[in-house]
Amino acid sequence: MTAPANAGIFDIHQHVGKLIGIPGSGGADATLEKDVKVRLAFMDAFGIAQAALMPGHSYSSPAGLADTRALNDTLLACQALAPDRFPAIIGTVEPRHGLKSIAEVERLHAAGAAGISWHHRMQGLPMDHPVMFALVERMDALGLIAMAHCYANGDFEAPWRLRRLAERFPRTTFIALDAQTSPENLDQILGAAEAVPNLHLDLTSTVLGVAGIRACVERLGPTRLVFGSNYYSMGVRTELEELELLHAAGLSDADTAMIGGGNARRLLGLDAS
Amino acid sequence: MPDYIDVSARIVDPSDEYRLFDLTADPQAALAIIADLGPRQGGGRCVLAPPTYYQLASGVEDLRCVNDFVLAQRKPGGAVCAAFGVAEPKYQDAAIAELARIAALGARGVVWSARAQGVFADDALMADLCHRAHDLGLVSMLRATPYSANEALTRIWGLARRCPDMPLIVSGALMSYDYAQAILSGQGGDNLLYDTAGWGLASALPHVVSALGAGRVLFGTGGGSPPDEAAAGLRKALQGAGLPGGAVDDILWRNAVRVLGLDVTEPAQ
Repeated sequence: MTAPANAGIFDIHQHVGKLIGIPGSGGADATLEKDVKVRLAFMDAFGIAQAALMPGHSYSSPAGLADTRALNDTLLACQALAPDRFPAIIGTVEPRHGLKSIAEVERLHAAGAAGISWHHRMQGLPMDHPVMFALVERMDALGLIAMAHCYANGDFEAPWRLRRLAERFPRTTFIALDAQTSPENLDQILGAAEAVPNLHLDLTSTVLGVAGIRACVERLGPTRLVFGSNYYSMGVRTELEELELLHAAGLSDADTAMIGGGNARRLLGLDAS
Repeated sequence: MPDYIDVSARIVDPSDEYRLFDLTADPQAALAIIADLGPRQGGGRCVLAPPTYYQLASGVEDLRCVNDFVLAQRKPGGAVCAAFGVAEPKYQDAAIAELARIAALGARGVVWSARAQGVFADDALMADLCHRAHDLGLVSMLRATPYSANEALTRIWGLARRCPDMPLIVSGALMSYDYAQAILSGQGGDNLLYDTAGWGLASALPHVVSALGAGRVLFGTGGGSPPDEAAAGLRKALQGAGLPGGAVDDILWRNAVRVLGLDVTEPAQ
């Protein structure tokens, strides 16, 4: 069964590629065509209508900026193979490339990307480094959203660092990914999000069960939470816990629909069509 | 013989740990730091280490520039008696090529910072690179910033188990009370040596030296502070703890000579 586009479940957290230097990490090499074929089969199996694509954030870049451009171009090529299913691209730029990364922010915007994503503990600088403020300042001017992983005990991607960025740029939409990876981490990100209305979070990698979802909705309301699967290229998934938990959380149908897809489309500007 | 050898004289801005150095465009900033924070009294030496954070927009070209800069600071009989290089683990084949290049240029070791390099210290990739460095005669030094998941002490211990036949220097672990306690508990491999960078726990000093043995502790500042004062303070603390003079000298310089294969017979200039 193929889910209808422009409605239904929206997965805001899919990676294209694999990770290196990370024990037990996901993903595998594949041609783009095979990647998209397997990815769409995964989405269909779980009733996911659409997804935003971002890269894996631990990759080899001996050519520096040129490698990052090539990585982002891969996302765009992937999107071109199924544009109705992948309506949003969230590229990346490397903080360690310094201010020279601003040119790639601008190139991604011109190519139609919806935002920029990071996984700072794989990218070597703190989320609140001055380079990051410069990058997000340019994104703010261009209307790009910022998606940043906030894995528990992530050090460079700690929730308080994201809060500093989100407070500085109140017009920019920030989405914290992987934040429900410990009770303490969720408490920290919720505390930040309560104070910073442009900060949202996803369900990905949750270890907190339905209690995590309920805590988010109780403290932030249903509009600040989005569904994500954390799918990597050629991933094999027999269960999708984030989706199962969303349906088991006891929320109203309207709230479930918002978290399952409506919020993501609104934040990405996809709900106007 | 030197009064001390600082094995981790890292180029770091004392006011900004995360300063992103651009040694291609602005080598003067690093030179000023070296001038400010190098040994001053004539009897001390240091092994210079690259900055932890340097910009990489041009990839391996920038990496080579960092290594060339650091290695160029060595002077026969000078305060900088040797240098560590650096390689980016995720560059994979290009990292291996850079290890070979810096070994040929006379680097004594290579510094890894899993936190700054976006990897985890116990990954198979890191173990492979440490083996390759060892085969080239380069000693691996691993930064162990407290509270970093990437370069957590437990991960470095995991790496040490993958590399049992080579010495690994751990830099910065002893600045943390928790890490000092963990080391005291007897975990970690016998092939691990710890520098004294950031060590502010004078009361734990004799316990750590006793647990590890004087042969596994090396004087190092980690950069960012004057080594003359740090060495004098450490010598006083070690002597106050009742360590024999031979053990004090082991920690202050002889271990560095042994592990890094340094030649410090030329008189300091």
